[in-house]
Amino acid sequence: MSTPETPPQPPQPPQPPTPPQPPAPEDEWQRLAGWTAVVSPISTLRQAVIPVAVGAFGAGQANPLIGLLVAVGIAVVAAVIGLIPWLTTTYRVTPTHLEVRKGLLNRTTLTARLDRVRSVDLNSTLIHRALGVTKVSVGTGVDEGQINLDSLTKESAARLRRELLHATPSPSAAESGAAPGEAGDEATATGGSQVSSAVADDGEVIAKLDWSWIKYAPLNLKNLAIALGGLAAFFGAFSELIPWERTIGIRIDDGELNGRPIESFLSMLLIAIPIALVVAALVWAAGSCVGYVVRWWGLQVVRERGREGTTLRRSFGLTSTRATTVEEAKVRGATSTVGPLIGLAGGADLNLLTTGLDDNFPAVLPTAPESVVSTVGRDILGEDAFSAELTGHGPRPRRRYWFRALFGTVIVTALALVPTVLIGIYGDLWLWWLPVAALVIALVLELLGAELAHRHLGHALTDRYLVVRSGSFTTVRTTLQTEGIIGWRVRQTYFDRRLGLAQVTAMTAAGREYVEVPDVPLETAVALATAATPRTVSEFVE
Amino acid sequence: MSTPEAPRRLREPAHQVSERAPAYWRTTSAIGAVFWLAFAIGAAVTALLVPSGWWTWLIWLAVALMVLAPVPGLTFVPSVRFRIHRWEVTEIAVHVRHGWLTVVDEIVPLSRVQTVDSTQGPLMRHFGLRTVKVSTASSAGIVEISCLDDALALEVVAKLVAITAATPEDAT
Repeated sequence: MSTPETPPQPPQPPQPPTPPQPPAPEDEWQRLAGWTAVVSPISTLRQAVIPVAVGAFGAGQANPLIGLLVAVGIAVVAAVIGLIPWLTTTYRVTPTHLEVRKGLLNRTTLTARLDRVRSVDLNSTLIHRALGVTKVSVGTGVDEGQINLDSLTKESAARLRRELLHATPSPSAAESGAAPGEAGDEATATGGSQVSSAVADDGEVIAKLDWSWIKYAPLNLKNLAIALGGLAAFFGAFSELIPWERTIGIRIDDGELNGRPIESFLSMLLIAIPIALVVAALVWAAGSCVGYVVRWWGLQVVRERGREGTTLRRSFGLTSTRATTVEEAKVRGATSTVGPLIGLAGGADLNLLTTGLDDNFPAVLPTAPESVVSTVGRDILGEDAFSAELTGHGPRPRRRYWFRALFGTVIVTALALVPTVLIGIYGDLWLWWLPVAALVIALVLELLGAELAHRHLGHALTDRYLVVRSGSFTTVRTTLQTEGIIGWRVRQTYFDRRLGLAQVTAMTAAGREYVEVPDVPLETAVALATAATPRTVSEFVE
Repeated sequence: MSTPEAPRRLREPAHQVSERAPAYWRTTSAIGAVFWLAFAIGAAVTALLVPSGWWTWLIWLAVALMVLAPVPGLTFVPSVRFRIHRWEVTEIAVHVRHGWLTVVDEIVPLSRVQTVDSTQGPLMRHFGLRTVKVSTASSAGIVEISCLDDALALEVVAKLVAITAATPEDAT
């Protein structure tokens, strides 16, 4: 690997890999914000807190003084390591490039052409905000990761964003805090101008948080699952530390609960369980609303004029704020998702399909009414692709879904039969209602799911977009620019070939990097691919 | 949107893979079969040594499955795959078809190709085979033309590189 021509030169800034730099006096190398010296040790320490605790605890068992010394020692080391970024990182914006130098022993120079910069992400945690700084991530290529600068002052972050995406570097762009009146609901308790509220002069607000949307927060089953998972993990981790006997006073031994037969508690459970459920629902409703407020506070989506074309900027957050700017040309499509409960309440989620961001499937809005989602979607997509008339996939997928539903029902019923038979044989108690209930519930749900999946299936091709809809209880409608399709995959299993169906994947660099058109008749699939990308596909059809 | 004389299906790509590919696939199956057999023998010994019970027939079933598992790969699957595996590179796109139970067609326009490379494992080298890998800006968009003749594969790589270099586009 190491050739004699390129020996490692630790401290010297390496010159060879950088392109020729015209000596321009205004393109001075700039340091990170001074507060970086505080922010990055804190974030380093946060990562080190468990090893520190373990090490200190281990050593402290022998001698408390040594334990203390170990803890202090590790903390000091972490703080020193945290200081390194501030000491070693510098950046500058030349008329053509963004250049970042970083590293202590391995000095690296990151260079990005300004016309390849696609997104700028300003991210501030509570600590950042208390100190008036922000983390800047610059997205350039597709999978090459981002260039991170942690942290810059809000002013220099705003200036950098402008220089990268909006204008040729000029000192006048630095006055970012000139319009503090905009987005007045932003809490500016920390002093200093809010990066996320510094709206450009020609910014056009295309979406803004409406507090009536908060009604969707408790209906978000995905968040509920995450919360329950977190709760379960919490109790799993600490269950041994919680003195159940003393706090709740439950002792189970010998078929007796606290000295009374267990049966006598069953009637109490009939009352206690509903009460617990109601309390849990109330706690969830309150907690999810609080979480919603904290996360989405002050959300707005703004369209600005960029260096080439327009940019979209989404900013939100109460405690930690985030402002993401992406070139609108890099938005390749959007997805509207309607979850089961949220759909009944008339809501939907809107995500973009982008390239060059950290998360290429960003939510534009929190869950919002479908009308808002389709309006904002139309605005961003440039045409009304979301309400395009869809072509269904015919009776063949329906047959498949119904068959699968019946098969699933049989399996569930068979599984429910197992305990019934076992209890029947060994316990002489025939719980006949168990498999019957399983059969009825499974049949209803499975058939409903199958029919919904069939009804939702569809695709369309508008002027610029491929539109696909699928899903049973959750409906997902995806629009993808045909321009953004970089390949096709047509898959047919043995059963697909018997039914004449195909599973089509449109490859793309944006979003999740593929869009699936499931269970589409083969001839429709080929016609669709040919119509969407005639240049690529037409020579391979017959 | 389907017009009256809409195309009905994708045609077969023009070229087959190397004639030595089935032998190569068969050899890889044989290597796998050795492991399956080893497991089967282990399971059979277990079945004989542990006291018999309701689980004994399950172990013998597993033994039978492990013995039978490599049989398709050693007999008819390589020739079926050879009939299905096809590839074609035009000035505009690369089209690959592969699989046997599940048949997959992949089409990638050359203007969107980011990297072209070729790989050859030790066993492939023995058979004089080489696989050409074409990747795009999508992680779902990696297309392999597997088991070409070594020399042909290098030719294809050179051709692909020449064409993709001549189409300067953003690839996303």
